[in-house]
Parts: sequence; C-alpha cells; structure tokens
Amino acid sequence: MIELDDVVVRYGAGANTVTAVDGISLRLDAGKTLGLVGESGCGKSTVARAIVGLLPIASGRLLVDDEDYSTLRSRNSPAYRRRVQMVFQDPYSSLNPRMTVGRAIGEAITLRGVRGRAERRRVAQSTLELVELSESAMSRYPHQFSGGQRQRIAIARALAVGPQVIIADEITSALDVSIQATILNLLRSVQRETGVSILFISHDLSVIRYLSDTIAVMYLGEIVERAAAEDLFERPRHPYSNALTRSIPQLGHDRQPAPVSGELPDPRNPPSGCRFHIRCFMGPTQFPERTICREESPQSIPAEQSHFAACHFAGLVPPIEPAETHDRDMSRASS
Amino acid sequence: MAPPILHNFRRAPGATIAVVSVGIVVAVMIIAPLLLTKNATELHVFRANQGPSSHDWLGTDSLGRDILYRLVVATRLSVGLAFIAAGLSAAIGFALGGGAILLPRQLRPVVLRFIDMMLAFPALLVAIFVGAIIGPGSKGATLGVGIAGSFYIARVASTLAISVSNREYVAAARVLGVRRVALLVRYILANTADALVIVVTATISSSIVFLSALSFLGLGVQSPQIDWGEMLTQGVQQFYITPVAALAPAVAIALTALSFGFAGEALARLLNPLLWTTTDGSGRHSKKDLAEILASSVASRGDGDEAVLQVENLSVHVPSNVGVVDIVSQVSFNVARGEIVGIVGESGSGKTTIANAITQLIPYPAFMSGTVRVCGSDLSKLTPKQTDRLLGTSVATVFQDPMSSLNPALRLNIQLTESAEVHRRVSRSDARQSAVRLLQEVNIPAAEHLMRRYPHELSGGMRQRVTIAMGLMNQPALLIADEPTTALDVTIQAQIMDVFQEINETHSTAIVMISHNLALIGQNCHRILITYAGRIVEELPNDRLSEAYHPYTRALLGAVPDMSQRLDAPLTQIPGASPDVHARPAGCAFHPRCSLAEDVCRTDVPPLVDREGVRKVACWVANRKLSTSRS
Repeated sequence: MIELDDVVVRYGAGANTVTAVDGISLRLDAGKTLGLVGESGCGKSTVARAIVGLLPIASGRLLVDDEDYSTLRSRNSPAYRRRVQMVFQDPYSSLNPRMTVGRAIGEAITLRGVRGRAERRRVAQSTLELVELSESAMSRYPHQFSGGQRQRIAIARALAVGPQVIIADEITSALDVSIQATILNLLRSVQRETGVSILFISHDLSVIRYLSDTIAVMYLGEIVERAAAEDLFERPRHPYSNALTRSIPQLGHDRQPAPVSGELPDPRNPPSGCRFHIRCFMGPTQFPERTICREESPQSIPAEQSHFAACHFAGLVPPIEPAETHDRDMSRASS
Repeated sequence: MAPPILHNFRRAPGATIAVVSVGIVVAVMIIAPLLLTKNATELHVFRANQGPSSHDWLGTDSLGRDILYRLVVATRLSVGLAFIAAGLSAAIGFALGGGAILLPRQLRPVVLRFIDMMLAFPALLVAIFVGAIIGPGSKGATLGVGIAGSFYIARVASTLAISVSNREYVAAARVLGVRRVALLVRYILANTADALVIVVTATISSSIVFLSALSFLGLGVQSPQIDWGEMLTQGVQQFYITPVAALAPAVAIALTALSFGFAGEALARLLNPLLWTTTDGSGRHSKKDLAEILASSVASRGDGDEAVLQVENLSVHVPSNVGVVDIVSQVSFNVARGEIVGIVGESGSGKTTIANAITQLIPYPAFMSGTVRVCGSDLSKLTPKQTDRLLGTSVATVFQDPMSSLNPALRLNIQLTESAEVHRRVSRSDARQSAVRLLQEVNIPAAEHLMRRYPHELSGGMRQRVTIAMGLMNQPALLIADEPTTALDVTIQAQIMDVFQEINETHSTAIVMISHNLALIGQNCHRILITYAGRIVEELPNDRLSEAYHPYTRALLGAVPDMSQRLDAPLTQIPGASPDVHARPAGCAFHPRCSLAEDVCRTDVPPLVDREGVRKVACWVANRKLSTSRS
C-alpha cells in the first residue's frame, strides 16, 4: 500500500518557483489500480517523478506500508527501489539502446538480490513470459522491436525487480491504438498474476476507466475529485470531471459542443479560490452570485462514501447521460 | 550473442582503407627508423637539391639527403608525438568534461564556461603559447598540442554526457537503482562512445597537423631530429628548385590525417549496435519501372462539378534500396462541397502522405502518380504557378503542430494578412479587417490585441485557432486538417472541433480531417475513410461505423476503450504491428493480423468494392459474404 499525504512538489527557485503539485493526498491499496487523470500541465507526471525519487517532495508525507519515505534519500535507497518501480511513456527513449534486453532485465534482477547465474536466468525467463515475450528476445537490442514490444520490455524490466507498486506514466500514449489494447490487457493480466499495485497515469479517461479501481482527477496541481471508477463517470461531483467526460469523443454518440471554454491557466500564477472557477460552467462566469468560487478554495469533502470532490456546489453537478454498455468482441465480426 | 562485428566493420565507409593505411603507418613508424636512419642522415653535399631520380626517388634536400628515406623515418616522430599529444588531450579532456558532469550542479557551469573560454582561443595559438613557455623542442610542442586539443574534447564530452543524462532511459535506470558508476559506464559512456572515438581519432589527425605546424614555425622538433614539419621547413626554402622537398611531407601529413579519420568512422560504427542490423533487400517489392508507373496514371473523366476534391488512383512512390516502394497506393475518393470527410489510420498507414500529395507537398525523391482535381482542375495539367495559385486560394491546411506553420519571428498580423495580399491582391487594411473577423469566428477573444502578438506568446489551442483563421483568409473551398488536435488536451480538442463545425456550416467549407482517433472522426465527419498500409480499406458514412465490414475496422472499434466499454471484457487485441513500409505483406496487407484470412488474401490485393451505393470495402471475405447473402 502506498499513501501520499498532503504532498507538495515544487520546481525552480525564487521568483520562478512553480508549485506543480499542491498538497495532494492519494492512497493506493495492495493489488489495486489507482487511475490519475488530468490534462497536460496538471502535475500528474510530477507526482510520478516525485514518487519514484526523481524529484524531492517539498512538504507532506509519502508512506509505503506505513514506512516513511518522504525524504529523497530514502526513496533512492535500494529497499525502496525494490518496492516501487516505474514504466515511462515513450518506449523508444526509456530503454538504453546499447544494452540487450537480457542485460537490461538482468540488471534489474541483480538489484533484486537474486544470486547465481542459473537463478537469474530463470527469473528473467519467467518475467518475459509474464509480458508474453519469448526468451529469444534476451539477446536482442531495443531497436529490433516494435513500439508495443518495447513497452512490454520496459514493463518486464520494472517487474523484474519484484516491486509492490508500479507507476505507469502515460505508457500507452506513444503507441498505436491497435497496440494500446494489448498493453492494457497485459497490464491487467500481470496484476492478476503478481498482485502488483498500479498507479496508472493518463490523460485519456476511457483508458483510465478501463483499468482503474479508483480514479483521482487532477487539475492545476490539485486533486479535484476522487472516487470509485464507476461512480466517477456516472455521477461526477466536480464540474471539471464532468467536462472532461463530456469532452471525450465517443463512438455511437452525437457530438456535443465543448463543455468548457478557455485553457489551463499559468501554474505559476494560479487563479484565486477554486482554480477551475474561470473556466467552470457552474462558476461565477455563468452565475455571478457564486462569488465563493473566486474567494475560497473548496475543501475536499466526501460527497458520498469514498467519493470526494473539491467543489462548493458539488451537489449541483449534473449527471452524465448513461451510455449504453456494450460488449465488443472481434469474434462477432466473423459470425 | 556475438554481433557480426567484422561484417559490420567492413560495411563502414573506408574501413578497409583505414585498416590498411593505419597498419602501414604504424608499421613504418616502428620499422623505418631501425633500418633506414643511416640512409636518411647520410650527407651527399654534391647531390644537394636534386629532383627525383632513379637514385633518390623523391630527390634530395639542401644537404643532399634522400627525401624519401627522411620522409619514412620522420613518420615515427610525427605520428608518435601526435599519438602522445592526442592521448594527453583525451586524458585532460575526459577528466575536465566528465568531471564537470560529476560536480555538484552549482559548480558545473563554472567548469563548462572555463572550457568554452579556452575554446575561444584558436588551438594553434594555445599550442604556441604553451610551447613557448616550455621552450622549443618536441616536449614543449607535444604538451602544447595536447593541452590545446583537450578543450575541444572536454566540450564535446560534457555536451554529449549532459544530453545523454537527460534521456529517459537514464531516469529509468535511476529509478531501477543502478549505481552511479554503473550509470556512467553502462548508460552514459556506452551511448557516447562512438562519438567520442571519432573525436579522439580526429584529434590524432589534427595533432599531426598542429605538430607539423609547430615544427614548421621552429617551435617543434629540432634538427637533427626529423619530423614532417621540420622537413616542410627545409623544403619550403628550396620550393622553386625542388618542390618535391616540400610537397612530399605535406602529402604525408594529409594522407596520414585522412587515414585516422577513416579509422575513427569505422571504429565508431563498430561500437554502435544500432547499426549492426540493417534492413536487407528482402522486401516484397519488385523493382518497378519508373516510366511504367508514370504511364499508368489514368486520365480521369471530368464529371462531378460539385466535388471540391477528386482523387483518383493516387499513389506515392519512394525510391529505396529495395526498389520503388509505394507508401500510398491506388487511393481514390471524392469530397463534395460542404462535406466533412475523415481519414483514419495508424502511424504508417499513409494518411498524412495522402494529404501532402493533394497539396503537392511530397518531398523529393518521392513522387506521385494518379490524378488530383481541386475544384475541377487537374493539378497535373497546370503550370507550377497556376497550381500555386489554385492551392493558395482554394485549399487551406492545418497541421498537428501549429508552430510548424507559424513563423516565430513575425507578429501574427503580418502572417495572417500575407496570403490574402499575395493571392487575392486585397489591400492591407481590408486584409486586416477580415483577419480580425476570422479570429473572432474561431472564438479568439480580443482579436485586435492578439494580432500584435508573436506565436510563442500563445497557448497551443490559441495557435491552432490562429492557423485555422489563417487558412480561412482566402475563403478556401477545402480545408485539410492533419491531426489538428493530437497535440491538444481533450477539453481544447472539443473547442477546436466546435470551430470546425461552425466553419463548415457557415461557409460550407469542405473539410478533410485526418486522425488516428476513430471516435473523434466518427463524431465529427460525415464520411469516413479507413486506411491501412497505404490503401483505403473501407469507406463508410459515419452512422454505419458500428456496422463496419472490414475486419481491421471492426478490430479497431473493439481495441479502443471508450466510456461504454464493459469493464470485465478484455479489449480486442490485434496481433502483430502495422507493417513497415518497406516490407508490406503481399495480397491484403492486413492478412497476417487478420483472423479471417484465407489463401486469396495472402496473394491478391482485394479491390475496394461498392456496397449499398454509399459505402465501399476492400476485403475478399467480407465482399464474398455480402454478395452471397444478397443473392
């Protein structure tokens, strides 16, 4: 289990300081998937980099199984590395081009503390099996694989350490759509077999929805809503989640006009009060009497059990029209 | 695993030359002074300054010594000192450059600026300076050249190391917990080694030249020791009597320097596994006759006045080492006035190339065949000037990256009005007015104010709006939008799609929208073309998308999760990956990934067959089933 408590991450110094992550709290249970969704610049990748120890945490706490890993030094310790691993967005740049797959995975296995050549080989084989790659991949270099295969290698390398938690940062956004499906299916089966917890970060709500047990929606460095996956999409309690859901083009549905106007403000100079108020379709731009949005930062309050939303008017957010649930199966094509 | 190192080494340009020439130089260096020193120093005062003869092949110098012998003997000192100097450069350079990387972040810029400062002095000047302090002679010269060369190596080493250490795989290794030393060796050094080898061998070459130059200036090797520079000094004095005396050492310097250059290239290739596997000529494409392809462009009929765009049998050919490869083949479609047509495909499916072919933006050496008619005019029948005029006034293009179509150095008002002034010869103030009106139309607040700003001052969504407004300046009949929202967030994407719909409704501008996003295209276009491996495999109205016939389209529909995807059902997997352009399968290009593939699919390309008057599908199996169910 990994827990973030009021975590703040900053970039730069002095007048150029950007608070990319501003006091977020998250909790990822063992064997579960937490989806973190948001648009570019919302700070979701910063969260990932802070968790894996590539960035320091300015304040707040990070706990893994109740052990404190808030300092950068502790997150760079071998013990932490063995627990928390990461898969990066672009499989073309996240693998060392001068290292065979066997060496890359072997390196990870060594860090796990596996001794003996034969034993290491056995672990490497079973890891590759987990990501559905054959053993012959070991002697080849990354550039000899397709994008989807490379992402499997990157996943295998993270798994080779035997981690409790994997941070997956936009791992399908560099891939073709036909390849994306295999990676998503793979992630599910890996989780079933190893019981690893996954923090799945993406800008794509439909992908997040498909993989996650719980979902957190981020906007401009803050978490605006947190709920079980099904709840969030059927009845979002934050206008931003609602807008995000309605912005996604959907097959078999008529086009809707864009739900929000404007663009993400400069994170160096975030709006007062609720950070979404200048774009919000329920905020003071539409309802001038709702000045509270401009003045007070909304607290994250439970709307229902385990459904949190940081909105002054959470109760008024309209539900999403239920979409028809359908089964998609290629075998139907042949019938 | 044993990489085919030798095979690969031989493939390097000039590898053989490098091995042979460096081998000769080294052999001469070792052997010549042992055997020939006596011959080289023998004085024959009566035969001074002779030209080449059978006795002295390269003639003699002012003291009557045989130039050939001297040249050969001088190799040891010339090349040997160059080796020492280059080794010195490398040692100091790597220590300085690599050290800069290992230093704490605050100290790093200090060292890097020092290196830059030293680089500002010409290397030869530094060498002379050091040489002068230590005193003339081979020791001073070598040290001088060594130090002078080190700053260049330090600069390259530090730049390479910094750029590699910012790569994601280094971050990945850090997350993995790879130790600092291992990180430096296995990740940073391994990924810079080939470039560094080139730099070091180039330094050997330049050291030979610099050392010779120092000797020539009298600061280097002193008589009676001989190197090529010293011979050059002697030779130049007799240049008008026996030019060979000066030319011979000059040629020796040039050739030796060159051979080390070749050696560097070959070694670098040896160290780079990315080059060990090269595409061999096993592609399935036969060599096509250029004339045949061009002759096959069929002249089209001139019907369909309503169509703003008619594409017929469009193919785009690229010459490659396996023959001419078609990245787009036999594509035909029409776009009617006011229609929005979507082209969907994965990377490598040729969708962008189709757009580029329409606007005549196919880069050399690729070339196209087939017919493209814009507003009824066949582009191949127009002069280049007429084509520019027609495309400039009736077709506008919006690209994925708006910055690629905006000039970062110009204010937006100039960029927005330029095309109208050029193509329609309207006055600047009229053009300004319509620009402001169009900016308002694409929902830009404070349009007047925005006109005075530079592209980099805008957000991605704003830039894309500006390029759309820019495209609309000449009231085009057709707008081609190539992945216009791929770089944008979904909330902004929805806004941009609103803009496209409004343009389409208010001006009946036809739009060709290209994307990899099936749902986006499905929701925003009237008609959809599905492309795979350079061909259109299916064409259908948007409301029939869920009842697609082609197995590829159906698989795509199942592979992309959407908000109504059942969570317990796995996504449809399409095995394998999109084929490489150079190795597309024979027959139907989708057959290796298709669960319905039959024998005919492996051999024959399925034609795009009309179905129900409004749709087309290119699949042997689907078309057979549809035909039999009809009868």
